[in-house]
Amino acid sequence: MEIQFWFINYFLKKIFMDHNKLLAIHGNCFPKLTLIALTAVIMLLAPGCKKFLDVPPKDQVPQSTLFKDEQGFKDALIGVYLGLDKPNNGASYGLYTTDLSMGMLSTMAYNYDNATAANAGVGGAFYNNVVAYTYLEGEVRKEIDGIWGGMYNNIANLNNILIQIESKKDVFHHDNFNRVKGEAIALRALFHFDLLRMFGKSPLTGSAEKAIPYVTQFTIRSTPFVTLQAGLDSCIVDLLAAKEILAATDTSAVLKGVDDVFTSYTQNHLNYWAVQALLARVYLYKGDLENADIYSKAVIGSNKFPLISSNVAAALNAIRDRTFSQELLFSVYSSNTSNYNSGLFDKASGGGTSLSMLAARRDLTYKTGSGNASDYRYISWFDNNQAAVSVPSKFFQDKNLPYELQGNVPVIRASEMYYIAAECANKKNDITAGAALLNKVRAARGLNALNAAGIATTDSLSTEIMREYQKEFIQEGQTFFYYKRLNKDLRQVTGTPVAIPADVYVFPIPDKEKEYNH
Amino acid sequence: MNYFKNKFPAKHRFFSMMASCTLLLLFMATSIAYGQEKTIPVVKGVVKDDAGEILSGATVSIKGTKIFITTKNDGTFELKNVPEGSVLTVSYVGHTRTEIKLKPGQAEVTIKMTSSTAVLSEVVVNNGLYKRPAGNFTGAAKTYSGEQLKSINPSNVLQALAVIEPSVRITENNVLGSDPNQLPIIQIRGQNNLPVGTQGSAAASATPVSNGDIMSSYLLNPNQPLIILDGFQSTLQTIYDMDINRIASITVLKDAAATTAYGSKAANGVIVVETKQPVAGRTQVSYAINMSVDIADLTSYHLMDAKSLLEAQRLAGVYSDPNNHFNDVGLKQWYDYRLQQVQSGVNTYWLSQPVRNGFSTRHSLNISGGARSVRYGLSLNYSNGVGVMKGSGRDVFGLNYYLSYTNKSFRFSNNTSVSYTKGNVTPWGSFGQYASQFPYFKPTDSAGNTIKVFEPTNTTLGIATLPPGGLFTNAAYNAGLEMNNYSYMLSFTNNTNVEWTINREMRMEAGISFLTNLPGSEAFYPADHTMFANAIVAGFSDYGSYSQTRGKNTAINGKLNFSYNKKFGAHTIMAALGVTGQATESNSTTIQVSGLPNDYLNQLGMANGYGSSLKPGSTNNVTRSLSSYASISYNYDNRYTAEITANASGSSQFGSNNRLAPFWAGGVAWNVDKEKFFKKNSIIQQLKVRLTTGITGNQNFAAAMSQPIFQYNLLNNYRLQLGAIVGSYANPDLKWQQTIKNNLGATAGLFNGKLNIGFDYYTENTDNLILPLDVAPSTGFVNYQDNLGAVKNAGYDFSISSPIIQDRKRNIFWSLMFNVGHYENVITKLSPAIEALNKANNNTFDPKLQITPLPRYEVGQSMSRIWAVPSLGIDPATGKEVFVKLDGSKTFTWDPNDKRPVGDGTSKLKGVINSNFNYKGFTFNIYLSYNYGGQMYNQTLVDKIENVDLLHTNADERVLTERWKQPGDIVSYKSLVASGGQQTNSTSRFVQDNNYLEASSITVGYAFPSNLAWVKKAHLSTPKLFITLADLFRFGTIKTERGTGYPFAWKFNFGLSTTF
Repeated sequence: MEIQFWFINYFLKKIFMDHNKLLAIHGNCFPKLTLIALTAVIMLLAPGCKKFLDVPPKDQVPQSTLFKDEQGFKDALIGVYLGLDKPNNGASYGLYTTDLSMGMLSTMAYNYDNATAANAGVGGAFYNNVVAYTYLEGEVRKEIDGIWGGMYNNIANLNNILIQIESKKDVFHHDNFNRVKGEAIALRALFHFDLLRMFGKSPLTGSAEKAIPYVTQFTIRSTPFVTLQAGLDSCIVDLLAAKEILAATDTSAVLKGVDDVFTSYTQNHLNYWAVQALLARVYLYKGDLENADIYSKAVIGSNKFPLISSNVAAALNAIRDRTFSQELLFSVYSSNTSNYNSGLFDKASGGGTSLSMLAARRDLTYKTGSGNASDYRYISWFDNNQAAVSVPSKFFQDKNLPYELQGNVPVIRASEMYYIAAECANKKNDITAGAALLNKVRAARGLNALNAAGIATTDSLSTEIMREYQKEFIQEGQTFFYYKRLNKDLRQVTGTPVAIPADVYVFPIPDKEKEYNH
Repeated sequence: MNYFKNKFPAKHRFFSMMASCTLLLLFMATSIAYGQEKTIPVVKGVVKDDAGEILSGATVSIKGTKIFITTKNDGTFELKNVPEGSVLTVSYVGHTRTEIKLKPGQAEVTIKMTSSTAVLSEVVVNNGLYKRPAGNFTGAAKTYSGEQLKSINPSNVLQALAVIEPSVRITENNVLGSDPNQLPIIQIRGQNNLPVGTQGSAAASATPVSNGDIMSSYLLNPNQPLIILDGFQSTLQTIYDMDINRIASITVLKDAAATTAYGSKAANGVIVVETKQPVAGRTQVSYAINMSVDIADLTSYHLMDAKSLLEAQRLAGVYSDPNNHFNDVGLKQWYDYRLQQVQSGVNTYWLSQPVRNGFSTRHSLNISGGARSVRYGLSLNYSNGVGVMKGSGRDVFGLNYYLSYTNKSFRFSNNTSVSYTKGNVTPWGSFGQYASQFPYFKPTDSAGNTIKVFEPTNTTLGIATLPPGGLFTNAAYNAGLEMNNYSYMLSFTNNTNVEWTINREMRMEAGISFLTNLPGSEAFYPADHTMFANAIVAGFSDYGSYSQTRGKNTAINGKLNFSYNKKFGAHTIMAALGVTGQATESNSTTIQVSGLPNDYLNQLGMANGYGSSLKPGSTNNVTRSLSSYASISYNYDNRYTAEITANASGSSQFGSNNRLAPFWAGGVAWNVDKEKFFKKNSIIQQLKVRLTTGITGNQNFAAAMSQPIFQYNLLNNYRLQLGAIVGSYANPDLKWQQTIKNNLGATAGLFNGKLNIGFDYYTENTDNLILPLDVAPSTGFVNYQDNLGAVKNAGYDFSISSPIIQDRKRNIFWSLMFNVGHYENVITKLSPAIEALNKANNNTFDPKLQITPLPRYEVGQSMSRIWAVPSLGIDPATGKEVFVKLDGSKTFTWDPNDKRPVGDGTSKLKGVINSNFNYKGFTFNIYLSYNYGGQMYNQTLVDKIENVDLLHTNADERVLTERWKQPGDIVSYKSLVASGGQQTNSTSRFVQDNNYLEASSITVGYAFPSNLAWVKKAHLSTPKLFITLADLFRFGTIKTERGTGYPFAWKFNFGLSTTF
């Protein structure tokens, strides 16, 4: 700055000095020349202005600085992964780490029949209202608004990355361009798909009805709502694109901690196989069984995420892998997970009521019919946190648990692929194939194969599939979406004693969205 | 007074890319050679003022010809080919026109000019970028000399300015009172910004001094005027800490014509401070000492004594529990225990404990002198400010060195300032704590040791229940601990200027200013501090705390100005153009640590760690701005003046699509008295009318609103990686807030100078107010900042002054001055997001917030409007408050939807009445300030009488005497029932007229005649002694506890100054 000024000063003086000499001879030409010179200097200064004024705030990172290199794009993508837990403009509790998994959705799937107790879970009346499906009650409404706001904030961040990345391909090394771009597109589909599953109607009843805006632009102008059908199609377009892009990355192995921290922990990224699993899930939701079958089998066939084969409960607490981590195609990592768990399920004595599946219900879920007390899930997923208080323990973490087992909240796991494939087979009346697929999971859970006589009909196989969802996805929230996809009578399948509102499967769109986007 | 003497009268600098072509033509037209005659080949001369001081830039002309010349920097001039016997006419601003007839053959002449009696401000206007004779200036500006301000308040120049200038208002801070370590909130001609939204939180709270950040004080108070010190942007704090003896003048620039040269920074008005410059001649040493006594003003407090409080608590149900017999018994036992204390005579007057009389001293030593070509000035000052709260104070050390060198056409000057300030925060804590503490608590035990926890535990006393109100600790206990709580700042400023007088018409000036300051603060609270008394369970690592902040702020300002003026015949053209640039950078790092058990472990490094929740923090802000201006004024025959100013400003704080913004202003003025038709009369001698209009801007907002900023999540990681997200939607189209200012002004001199009247009427329309706009959440964002609102201010300033007695012979002078300022503020446009804020304020989840009138912004209402539910008072039959609903029906139920505008926080009229009497050496000067027509929500009354928390705090004595007790009582306050039973929400009952008259300043002084024997002996010249009393008395319609966090003070100043 000062240099600029001194320069101008010097320059002007030079001109004037010269003309002072001239002045002695010529007299009056001086003012004109002065002015011309001065004007010229100021004109010269003008283009420099814009550059001079473009200064970045230093304690924050402006986009122009962040996206100068690969690391910036990685950080922006990681920002969204962190947003799976705590997005900007989000809800009070964790997004994928609480509301869409162990918290709200699991409560809605009636995983916790004591959620009606005073101060259940987080305290206050929040879970009392969730379990009564009163979506319009203040706190629940706020939470639902927060889910919407947080999901779309993540989407906006993804769209921003996707817009910026195109012109910056040359700053990337190895396959990182494809990784960032592919995962970003896939995450965009994941968020929209879950929004469709929450705010759209059941695909059986409202496929052609407006559901949510499918946002692919980074803009402050609102995007019009699309139908559930169109939304699912957009998800599929994005996921297929993501699959293509991620196919160009190194997919040789599922990694834990390796040198490159960005490519480590494959299961905590929405990876190539998770994208295919998601495709199977979306196709199934849409009712396209053929494709659902293809992608679920593709994931199963990859053999990268084998089902567990032993009782994890037999392992010492310090290394007990309660989430069956090798089966997780994609799980969210959050260092807050153990806090969420202790806030909801591991409450100290006198600190409120831990959400819990009471003993009778647990027995009903796991032991009756084709079930058995030998089910590893029954053994591994419930613990006494205080004397005689049994609580769901999928997210219990010993402090000494190996790092890669800490903080994982499953989003999609391998067993679901078997269920999807089984459902597809069942739809084609291939009960045998369907049962065989279910039996693979049952075997991995310490259960006997289904008795062929008991599943003579497609209906009975469907019932077995539902039971598997009920057992497998406790604390993961997917059961709610299963019920919704098939438009089950929620009261009947959950056995909740409360009257359930008619539109229980559709979350209310935030008022502010309705006000500003119509 | 010296600062204009050695300068060209119209030292104008000018710039505009747009106007340059026009100007070019102008120059060509005016560059005409003049004819010459021959008689005396060369007449040499020098022009001096009545003090013998040389006058550079005076205009010398030969009467009857078009020949004229201006004197050089050394006051000399040379005229060639002067006809013999010519008459030389000399004119210079601030001086009466002098004519000298040359004797035949005279080739050398010394011309002495006498200064005109007119006030300084009427003669030349300095807007910090260029100076202009008042006759060639159309804007609204007012200049006050340093002496004048010093006579009003020798210890606080900002207060003095607010007293004398009706357009300047300081928001009285009822919480911070006379805290010497808080900067005032200052505004010129009202607010142009909504105090919401742009920074995300409520703005316009007082900023602690010593944070030293160049930009932050502007950001924190978006209505703060621009401060210009000696031509460069400065901070309010610099002026606050400045030695008042160094101030030559302060000019307040109000309208567009006066401020537009500052472009995007000008919307809130400009305060231009000029410091004194050394005068040539023998070395002068002047010394001034000012001593002041601050006495805490506790008269607004009427707290209950021990006996009354206990009774009030009993009546309020503190000592009973009708639902639980067990508790009831325990509470009764506590009552008995406390009663026993009262009966044993404990009745502590807590308010006097943390206060003292503050004796402050300020020393100021100035040395100046030099020859015509080299001048120097050195000033040293030390002030030791002592606040009325024990241990609070503010020390300032300052050094200023000025050096200038002048040769024929160049003048170099350099001004260096170094200052160190240290503000001590009282270890006694907030004054409010002492107003809360129960008078039946003893301050010391029988051994004379200060008590930390007032009451023994219930187990010690054998009472089954915990004490009502919990654990009470003595705030005074902390004063005995070794703790640090202070802030400091070392600052360094260097200004370098080069002025070049190119020829008699053109002048150029370049300047660069470098400012750096190093602020810091330390706050150490040992574990023994009462703040940890309730948190013994928190664990060792949270026990005791230490916070340290270090900062570094730098600002570089550069400017380049060019001025041109030319007179031909009756035409005068004055032009100025220039460029200014600024780059600022502010850094600060704060480290908070905890786990310091002992008070002698008072070092950062002695801490255990960051505890459970602390982490280091740092900030770094960089801003840059460029501004170029051009101003041209044309005057015809001293009668008509037209002036146009244009500015192009750019700032890094603006949207990347709107980096440069144009501003302009134009004005016309008419000296009616110079017209031929204006007959000489005995009533009006002088009359000038001015009309100006223009656009100015405001850039007091954060940079992040206009460009996408990523925020790193530093608290969580994703498998060992950090992530960043776009926090808010940046609006690259964000525009400058623009204020269209119109001003109509008139000045008149009546009865041969016996009455001087000044009047200005103005309107200010601020458009493009930056406000948040709500958007659909599916965009991913809640809102974004856009130019959405508009505000209109309209008002007038009127002043009348009269030198009633001017008896030079008997040396008696008496003058009176009266001024009044008024403004109204109306919101004319608002964003829907503000509606949401209003709604949220109505239905706030936290009902506690409703005890105070929440701000509500509506089109057609002012920003300072007080919204509350209209009340008809207390129903004598039931003791309940009767409210009026919107439909006019009456109800006992308070409903926020019934709120209506019931008052306005801005007073309608504000002004000052001044009498200045001088007899021989004696001076008696009084300033009475008044405020009329505003309202105030008497929050302390609500808090101390109705919403009292008698469980924890003491209250006003009216709790017992003036509250409703039985049916038939006609009283102002609701009944006293068990606490928590009834909350008084914002009601018109507590909206009171805020009219007052106060003695802002009374000065009594004496200047010893220089011919006294002892004065001569001591080699003194004109020693002066004066006593100033600030805020001596106040008659108000409102009775409120003033100074709830820090008491207000009466101030007595004793000053002595002399020159050797």
